[in-house]
Amino acid sequence: MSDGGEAATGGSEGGGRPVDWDADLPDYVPPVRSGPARGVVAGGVARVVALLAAGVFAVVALTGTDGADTPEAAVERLFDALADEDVIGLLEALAPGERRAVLDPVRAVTAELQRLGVLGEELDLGGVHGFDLRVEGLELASAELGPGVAEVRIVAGTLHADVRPADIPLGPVARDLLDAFEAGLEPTSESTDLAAEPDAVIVAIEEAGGWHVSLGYTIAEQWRRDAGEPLPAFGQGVQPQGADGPEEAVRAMLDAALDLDLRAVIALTPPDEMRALHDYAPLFLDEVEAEAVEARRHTDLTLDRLETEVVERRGASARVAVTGLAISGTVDGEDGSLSWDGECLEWRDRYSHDRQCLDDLEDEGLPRSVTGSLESMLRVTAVEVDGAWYLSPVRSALDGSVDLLRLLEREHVEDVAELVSDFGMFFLGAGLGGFDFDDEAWAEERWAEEGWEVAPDDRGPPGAECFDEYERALGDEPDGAGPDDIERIHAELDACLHAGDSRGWSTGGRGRRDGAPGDG
Amino acid sequence: MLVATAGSVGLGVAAFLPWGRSGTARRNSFELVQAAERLDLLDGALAGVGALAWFLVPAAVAGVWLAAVLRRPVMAGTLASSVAALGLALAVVVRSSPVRTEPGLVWGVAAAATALAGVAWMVIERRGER
Repeated sequence: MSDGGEAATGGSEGGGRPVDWDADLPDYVPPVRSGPARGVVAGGVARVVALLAAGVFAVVALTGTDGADTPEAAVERLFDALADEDVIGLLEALAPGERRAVLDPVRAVTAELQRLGVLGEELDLGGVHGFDLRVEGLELASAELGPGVAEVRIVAGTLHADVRPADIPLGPVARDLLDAFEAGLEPTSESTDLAAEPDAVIVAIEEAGGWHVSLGYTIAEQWRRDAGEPLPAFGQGVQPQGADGPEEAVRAMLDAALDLDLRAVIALTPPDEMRALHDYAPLFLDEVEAEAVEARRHTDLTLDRLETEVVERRGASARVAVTGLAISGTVDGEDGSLSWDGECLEWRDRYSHDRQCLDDLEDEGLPRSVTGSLESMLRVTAVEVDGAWYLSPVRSALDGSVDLLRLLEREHVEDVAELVSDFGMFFLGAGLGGFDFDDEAWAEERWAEEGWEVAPDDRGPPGAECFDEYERALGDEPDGAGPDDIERIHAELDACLHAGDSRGWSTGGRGRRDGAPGDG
Repeated sequence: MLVATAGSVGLGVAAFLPWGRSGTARRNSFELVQAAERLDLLDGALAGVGALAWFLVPAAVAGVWLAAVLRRPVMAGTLASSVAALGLALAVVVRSSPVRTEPGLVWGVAAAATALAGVAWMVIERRGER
């Protein structure tokens, strides 16, 4: 059975070689037991355990809740996602109803802005380049506002933001615009004390089995505090009252609006996306309804005709176009009517009667992007929640923006960019605010670069005289001025601004002509 | 059968490695599928069923291993090819999404391809035996 056994019995090896009795004997090897080996049993157990573990994993993963365990954890997730530039994490931190409302339109807007050259093609979920955010020392405290609703206060924490505008994934159009203005391209670094506003709260709600940050509740709660209203009875606000279909929801909403029935209007908004509105509405509904009763004494509007069409359907949402509409009635004792047949808008009251058609507008030179925008204004988005259809204000607004963007072509955006570039010091200074065009240091530096002699303070804002002239010209035009007149005035303004380059002020770096300062 | 089993186990392991990145946050294949579910990005019943099935992959991989040990080539081959096909389909979806892909996806594709090659080898062998 073994080598040892053979040696012990005095056998020989190698064909009669004599046995060396002094040699060391091999170690004793115990006989192998019959039945399965220990390793085989262990392997079998391991496989069964692996199978069970995999089953448990599947069950846990499939039945797992969406959201954090506590309100503080929900807010922490939000800040973590922010610091990680994690768009998916940011969306996951939001309440499911709210993220559903913004997700599709935001994706569509992003795609359209990329097509138009405003955002760069390199923009993806790998991170928003140009921004580095860090949150340090975050400490949170929460308090329950009601069942499933909690406020979270930031007790301590600092947000550090490094912004490198040159790295922001902008498209060629936006990049050209920024380059034209040389300003605002320097990297900046800022730190913000997140606990600086002790009254500011973030509201988290419990939904889909976990806690999420709610933008709607945060806004509503801030409004409530500013208005000095008491806490509403959460979960006992306006009860949702959906319609049987998307087109029925549009009709019901119009009926409710014409009846000045705000409660019914709110009831027709999605109970998930607008949950905050449903909860907080009782704080102002009584007052509004009292005013509505008074208003109904003088107002009586009727929906005479409504024609709708579902123009786009995606999952549980539908885009509904109003293709025909007629409303008539009395407002403050005066009769009037309004109708839309998909092409023409007609209105009539005691003093006037007018009819404006899309074809007429196009004949007058308005581009399709403008006339098309009128059509998109008559579209709303309906969503299905628990088998009933509601009108979504957030999605309607965002989808409307997408519709408008789809009407635009790249050259339209380039034209606007050029216009902004020419008029930029006013437009950007007033609108975007991020560029210090009225900043004295910047202006003096620019003056010095150009070698101009007149200080900016002595001449007023750059281009001001042109705009004064422009406004005067517009004001002098008779009411019936046509597109040609307006175009002429714009051309004069453009010429004035360009001439201004050589008169001692700049049009923002674009369109500057060669010539010594003061030549003009 | 060894190659198919090794490929399946490899895919099972790769599924837990990072497959995609959003910002600096890395997510494994299950976290990505879960995020897609939560964000309502799964269009259609097929995508929904596929997403649910992906969570059963670890169990299926364990099943491949068990079937291989018990000398059940048909069962092992069927499970291995299903897991591999699912893995490849998910890899294509992730690759075409706006998410930045991570090495776990590459390992997953390699393992799935190995599993499929192993299954094909098993089929050829069995036909040869007949």
